[in-house]
Amino acid sequence: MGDQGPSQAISEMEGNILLMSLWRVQREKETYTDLSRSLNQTLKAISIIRLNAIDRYGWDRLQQQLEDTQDIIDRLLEISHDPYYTDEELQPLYSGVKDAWLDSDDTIRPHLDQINTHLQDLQESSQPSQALSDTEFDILKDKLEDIRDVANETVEENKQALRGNFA
Amino acid sequence: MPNTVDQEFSDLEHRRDYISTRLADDGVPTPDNVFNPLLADFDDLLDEIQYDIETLSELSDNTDDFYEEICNDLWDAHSKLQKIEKIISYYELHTTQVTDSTAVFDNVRTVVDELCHPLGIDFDIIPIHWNQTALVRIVPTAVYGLWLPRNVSTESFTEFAPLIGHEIGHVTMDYRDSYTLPDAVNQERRRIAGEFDNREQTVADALRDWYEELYCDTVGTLMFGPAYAVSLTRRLFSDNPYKLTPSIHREHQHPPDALRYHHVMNILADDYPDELHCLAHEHTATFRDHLNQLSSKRTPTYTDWWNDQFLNAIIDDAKQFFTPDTEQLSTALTHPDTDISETVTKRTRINQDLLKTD
Repeated sequence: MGDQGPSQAISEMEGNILLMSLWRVQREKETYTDLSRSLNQTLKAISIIRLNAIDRYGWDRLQQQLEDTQDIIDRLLEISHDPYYTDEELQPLYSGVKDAWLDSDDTIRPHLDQINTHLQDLQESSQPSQALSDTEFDILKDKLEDIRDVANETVEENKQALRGNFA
Repeated sequence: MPNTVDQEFSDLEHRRDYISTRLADDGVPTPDNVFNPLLADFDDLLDEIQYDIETLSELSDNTDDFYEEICNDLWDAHSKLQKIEKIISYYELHTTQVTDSTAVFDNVRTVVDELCHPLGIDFDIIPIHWNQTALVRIVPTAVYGLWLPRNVSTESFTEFAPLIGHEIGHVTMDYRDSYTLPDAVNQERRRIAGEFDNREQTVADALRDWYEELYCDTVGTLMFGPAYAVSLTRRLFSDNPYKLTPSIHREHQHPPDALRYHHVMNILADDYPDELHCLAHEHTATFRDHLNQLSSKRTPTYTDWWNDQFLNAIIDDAKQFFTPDTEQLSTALTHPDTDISETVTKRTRINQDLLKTD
């Protein structure tokens, strides 16, 4: 080690920090890709409803996508009640959304509740395209897009970490 | 003129076709159990995107949102395809390297086979020379790649081998019911972090990350005994072995080197005979010197971030996943004249070489 230059020393330190963590990076990348995809499918379902193209896709399939996203939102709500929540998959997503919305645990819950209420209204309506006002549709989409984008950013951050490994 | 989404879709189709051609080439083994599920998943997404693009062309107004969502799917498809392309490259690289590294790669497989038995897991491993030690997840629970540092040779394999125990610890995480933190570990995490007023979340986040690495160190130590301590201490190096959190936020934090050493030595003291613990102590003296010389880096709060209950909960958690065969390994090492159990042959030899006891 004695004749080692500073740049090599820094590089070895980096190597040690990254040592053995690749597995986790990959796992998280897959998790957040799946989450992002799931949320995007719901966003598409809402667009399809608004564009009156439900018949082209089938209502059952669209309903299922809305329900899947409700499950994700429910888990985010659970985290909001417990800072030590042990669901590693969703804890970073919750923190990211909280940062993006500049919200506290107390104020983030009404947003999440509102998303689920609207998703439920859509599922139960006989005329889904009329179930929400334009403003409500816009708000619902904006909020879901925020969550999807946080999941996407997490994938991106992980890609950066992977890039470090693959350089 | 085609839309950008059409162009991107077409590009993905061409890349998919190239993969088919590559997989049909018999020069590199590309197992169906690896590629078929990945390609089926990708093909489903591609079909979905094609249908959405057709829908888009039939709609006239207010389609901006839908267009953006199709772009998002295209990006996901690109990401999925990148993963498949990367795995193909791993197989190509492995095939190229195996000519010069047959013995090392065979040694890796022998060690992995020996570890799979007590852990009750079974998977294929694809060794690849890269720039560090790491596990690459190819198909969870079924196929993994293992990065080996470039300089691992048959001569230096002994020193490297125990680190495989740590990496296999990561594999076992895929075999568990979920990725959630075990209750007992979380309870201690809660207790420790709760003592911090303004850094509670920082400490709680760090402990969640530390859990997994310490769990893998536990698996490595229970599997390899003293040899794990020797290998780990020769591999760990940082300018501050007491560093609690990195100054720049990273996705995943490792426990301080000093804590990892403390944890590993505690396991050896509790689960192995005294003479083996002493041997490990003796063979890691240089690392303790390193820790002592950098002891000024140790902050007063260093020991507030963890406690023995937290570490013991991690050990208990590992032992709930599998029953370690420490007794067979200990017997083989302390009574070398008796018949060595076949299930610990390789690990016995590695310990004897590293501890120079044969």
